[in-house]
Amino acid sequence: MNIQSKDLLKISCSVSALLSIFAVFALSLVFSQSVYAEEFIPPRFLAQWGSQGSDSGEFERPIGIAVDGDDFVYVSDTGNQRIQKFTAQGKFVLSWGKAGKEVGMLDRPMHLKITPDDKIYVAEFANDRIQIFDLEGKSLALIGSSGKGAGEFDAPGGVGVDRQGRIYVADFYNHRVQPFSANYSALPQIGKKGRIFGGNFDYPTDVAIGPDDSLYVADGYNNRIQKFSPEGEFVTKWGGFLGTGLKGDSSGSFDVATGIEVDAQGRVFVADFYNNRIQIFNSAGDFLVEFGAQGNAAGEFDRPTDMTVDSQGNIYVVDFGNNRIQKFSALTAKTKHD
Amino acid sequence: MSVAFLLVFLFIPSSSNFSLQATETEDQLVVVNIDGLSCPFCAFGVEKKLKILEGLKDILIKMDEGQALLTFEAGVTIDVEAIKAAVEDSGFTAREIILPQS
Repeated sequence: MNIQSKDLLKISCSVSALLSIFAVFALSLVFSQSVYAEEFIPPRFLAQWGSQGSDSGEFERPIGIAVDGDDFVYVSDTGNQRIQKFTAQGKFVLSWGKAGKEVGMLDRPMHLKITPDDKIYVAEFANDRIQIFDLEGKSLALIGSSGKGAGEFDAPGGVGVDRQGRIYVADFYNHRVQPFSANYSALPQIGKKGRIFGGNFDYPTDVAIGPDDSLYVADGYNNRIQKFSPEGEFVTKWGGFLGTGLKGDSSGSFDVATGIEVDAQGRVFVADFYNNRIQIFNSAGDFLVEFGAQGNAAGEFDRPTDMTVDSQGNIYVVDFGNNRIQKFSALTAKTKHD
Repeated sequence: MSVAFLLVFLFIPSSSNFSLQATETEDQLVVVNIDGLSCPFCAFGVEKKLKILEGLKDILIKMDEGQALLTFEAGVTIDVEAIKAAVEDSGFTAREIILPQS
């Protein structure tokens, strides 16, 4: 009888300890939610342009988007094998590209990156290369070739360039990030195929570089984002429970991350494809705000693939299934706690 | 009359020869049904892997229908195992492959 009492006491203590740990964990979660310096209002719909077709200003499965220093908007019109350039109001300016392997031609252009020196980097998914153009569409250079070795690609999906001129490529079927020096020499790859742990990728779709040269990777079918230091060391990950990539539709979870962008303030924008929304995080991966829902009305999406931010903070989203671009207002702070 | 009948009989091709001749002169359409093609990276990935098939003349990915329509040149022997392998290399499984009727 005494033994049973001791056991009961032990069990009681254990349960109390567990409850205490759980309470501390829950409080830490609540606290972590309340210490954000700012909370944000979801961006407001401003404008849209485009419909399905192959004429100027029309799209067939658009995927990537970028803005230049003058806020012209460039869209990879992937199904039509071309890049289209627009004003910030959506007025068509020019386009270039046609299907092929020759210099200046394109085969499935995906994500885009524009550098401050007015070069546009295009990830060519089916040509296994990055092609660099000027802002009028003149081809300047080609990087990479088909394969699995250093400096080679199997379906590059996205490209980023840091302040040193180093180029980072999301190498989709090789499940890695392939970096290059500023003179296009291959550097050691970042990551390998896998799940759960940091540095493991499952079909990475896009990359982005932060203001401090941190590397962010949209780890597509791992349903998460991974962050690396400028030296390529794993820093953190988020998406699903503890960043393991468990698919979901709650804030901070993803159902295939197809595009990533980092703005001048270091905030991370993610195209959450099957959840039909854009999610925004701070540079540590803390959720800030989200916008969008499934549909074809203003402000709704049919599987967004990418987004970019102009000099005024306006946000442009590629609404893939609706064959259009939507423009939203800049992020606005709601309240300040400290 | 009997001589004319004999001549006609000699020059009418058999049904098997006729269909072979049709295959040798007409493009061959193969339909591959693949589940889960609604992501563009998946769809263009399948397209990329299938494009290297020998004798392939044209390819159309119908993303919403989950189909790859492959047009092979006339007379080319269609390698079903190569189609399956290409689809698997793209991260998918070919649920059904519908070959042209011979």
